[in-house]
Amino acid sequence: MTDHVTSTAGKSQLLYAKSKVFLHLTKHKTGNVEGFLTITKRTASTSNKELAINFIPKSILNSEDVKTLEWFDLYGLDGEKEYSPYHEDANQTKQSSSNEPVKKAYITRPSNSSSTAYAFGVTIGSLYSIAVRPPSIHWKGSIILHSTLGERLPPIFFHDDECPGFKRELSRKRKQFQPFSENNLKGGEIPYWGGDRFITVLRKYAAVEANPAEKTILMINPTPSDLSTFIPQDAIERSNDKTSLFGQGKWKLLTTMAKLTNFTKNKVNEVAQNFEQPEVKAISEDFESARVYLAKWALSIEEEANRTRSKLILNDDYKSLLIEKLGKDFSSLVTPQDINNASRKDPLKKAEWDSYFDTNGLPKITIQEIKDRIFHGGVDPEIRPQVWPYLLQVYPWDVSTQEKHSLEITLQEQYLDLKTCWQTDINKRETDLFKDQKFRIEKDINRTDRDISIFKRLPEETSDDNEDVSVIKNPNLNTLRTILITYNELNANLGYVQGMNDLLSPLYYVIRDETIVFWSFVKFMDRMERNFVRDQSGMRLQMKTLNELTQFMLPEFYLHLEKCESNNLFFFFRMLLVWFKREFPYETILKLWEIFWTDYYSSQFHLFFALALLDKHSNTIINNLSRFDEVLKYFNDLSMTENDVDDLLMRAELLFLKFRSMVNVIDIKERYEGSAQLISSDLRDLIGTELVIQKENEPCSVE
Amino acid sequence: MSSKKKTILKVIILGDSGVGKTSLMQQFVNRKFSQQYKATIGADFLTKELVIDNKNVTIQLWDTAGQERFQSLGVAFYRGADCCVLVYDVTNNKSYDNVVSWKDEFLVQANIKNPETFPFILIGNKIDVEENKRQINNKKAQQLCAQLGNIPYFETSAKEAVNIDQAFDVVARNALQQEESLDFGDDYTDAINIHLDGESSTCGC
Repeated sequence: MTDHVTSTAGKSQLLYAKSKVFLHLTKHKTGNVEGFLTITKRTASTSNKELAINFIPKSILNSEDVKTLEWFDLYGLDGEKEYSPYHEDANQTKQSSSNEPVKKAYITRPSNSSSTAYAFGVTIGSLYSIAVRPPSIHWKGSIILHSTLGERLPPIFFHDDECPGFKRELSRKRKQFQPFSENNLKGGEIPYWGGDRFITVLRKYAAVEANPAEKTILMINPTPSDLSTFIPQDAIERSNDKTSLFGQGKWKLLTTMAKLTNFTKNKVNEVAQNFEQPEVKAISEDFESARVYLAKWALSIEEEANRTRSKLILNDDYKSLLIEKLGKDFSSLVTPQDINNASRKDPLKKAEWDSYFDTNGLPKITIQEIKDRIFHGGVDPEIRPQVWPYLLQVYPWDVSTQEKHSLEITLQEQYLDLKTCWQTDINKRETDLFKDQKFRIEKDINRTDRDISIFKRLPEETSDDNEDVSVIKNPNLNTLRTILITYNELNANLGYVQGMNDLLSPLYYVIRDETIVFWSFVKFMDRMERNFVRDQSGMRLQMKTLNELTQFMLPEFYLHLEKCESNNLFFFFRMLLVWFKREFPYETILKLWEIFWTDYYSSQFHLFFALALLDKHSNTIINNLSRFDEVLKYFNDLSMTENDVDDLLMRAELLFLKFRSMVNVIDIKERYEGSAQLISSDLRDLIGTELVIQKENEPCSVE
Repeated sequence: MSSKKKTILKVIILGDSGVGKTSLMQQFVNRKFSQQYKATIGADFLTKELVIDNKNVTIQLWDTAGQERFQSLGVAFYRGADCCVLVYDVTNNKSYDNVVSWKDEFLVQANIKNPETFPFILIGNKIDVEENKRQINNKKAQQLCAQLGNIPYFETSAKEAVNIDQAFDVVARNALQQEESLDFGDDYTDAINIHLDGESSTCGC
């Protein structure tokens, strides 16, 4: 076509254009389809809902349109002059933040479909949601458009490294010191990427809201019911009047939902469609709790379905690749050297520990070396009180003796302030919430490790004392209560949750200094908070990750667990919640935890420890157990010893090394071929040593 | 209905944290009481062989964590329950107030086919305390039973082994009856569902 530039007949105005976006049709780069992502306006009177979003393959565009699109990607929204944060130039062409076109540019009206060239498009009015996947070091960022018709369009990948328009945006962002994503989905840590601008621009023309249950799904012009379909279970208070449900037809719906025992994609869709039916909406209105349960179920069903779909049991291609690279049975994966390194050593003793530091108290060797030593041997009980606050990062490793002293004074003052605050605030102490939480803490304090010497019942404790839980005569337990109430005030959103007493008790047993115990507990809780959040999402995620890890590393055993309906790994709940505290002798837990705290290989090494436990018991279970309750009982009743811990730690280390090597081999293959990612990001995160932190966002209330 | 099949009666014990669920179960199964029980995390169960009307059965008692947020995982082990024991502490008003919620939560999570007839038992535990510490009297407890559909009620002391066997005998009998009624097959229960649906359509609320 050789239309005049001024003519707009058969053309649409560009509101947004991005070059170097691709469809990845096969695992090979040669299968990639290069194109442009556009938002266009047909005529001046076109409404926002009629605006078109298109993927236009480059191959079907004429050279003039290509030129226009490439120009628009570079300058269409930001103007041609360079923006400088230091020089305000009144004459400068329009600046970036508006996200509206600077100049009018037109291209041939894109088509919403083509049979041969992979063109597709939707209007904003028919766009239901967008799944957003920001880039990571292993894959390119992408978006998937979902239309209201339910068709799933292919992912559009942003090749930011090849895209001049993106590079210009990024350099402008950097100059404004905003290198991070505006539309970030994970709380501010995702660097700016190509998809961000698309979403920002889209926000000009449509309401874009993150799905409350799944933040990586953006809902477009959602109705209240669209959003409520996905309401997380903690978002709604429990209704007091649930009994009315059961005499009515609503019951049928609930049982229908629960019949979905075999989770498949289709069934998830059925569930999703059920939400759209008016009768379900009616229930939601007059019976909020039903909606909570439905959402809860839908989410867990969806999780199950995802799990089944993303089966990580390796197919033959991957198996032969791993054998080729790593030897049969992956024998070269774990070398004799590795095994030697993984063998357990004697605990770190005082003389050796002291030799790590110079006369000013600063470390003479690297922190990684110290952690290596502790990871492989643990710490002698004599020096635990000194070492633990370092491992828990109450003290930074590189503080001098003098600095440490002043730090201790500060910690002392801060703790005292926090403690006095609730101890002296009469009004606070009279609130239902405070009384409720205090009662909850006291109930649990009275049953915290009473078999351990320092927490034992005292001779003067009569059995009647048990009736009033607020009477705590054992001074050590009394201190635990003070610490838990103070923590309950400090982290008011989370509050006290059962199991925290189990986490605190060993810290007190070892450290004893109330202030240092408190701050050590605060630091420990940083990493454990995800176990206690109200919606239990942190526990679910860990169980899901362990499930994937088991599929990947112990496929045969996984299939057996599936047969036993035990692949939900429910029997790991207690072990993960309080880090195996109920399964091992008290002294052994001290050793296990200090090893976990090193984060030497992974900040989630406890999941490899769990995997080692599965590995160790897999034959027994495969040969003898076939039911959910049997498997649960088997793991609940495991009574383990220090020897078991050493054996499991070795297994866990070797499993970790094997896992890391397998992931590396698969990554290289996939990067080379540009293929889909087999390893989920949750699984990949296991290689990281950064703490996984999840905070409770909702304020604590009387449960 | 095969009588050769080993009958396992699955019973779920629910109630607020600290009301004595673990203690009741231990007292019934192992005849012991300890001040040293820890707060239950996750779920666990104990089993006991019983003879009911000359029939050998195995009762499987499931113990759960009492803090509410942990209940979202209940669905994993409530399935197939034959009876549910609701426990409160007679010295604690709040644990009494929460009984209704526990019942409802259970019905939803356990996928009970016919909630109208599913057997529940109410237990008020810790009657060994002095009378002046008691917050819930027998009359108030009876009111709750009526509200819950005239379910059986027992006042127990797990500590002093009062009324434990009596309570669990009724639990086991009700569970067995429930288990046997399920053997009538789906036709029977479907008929009930259809009947209930009919009722609901005439309900104007």
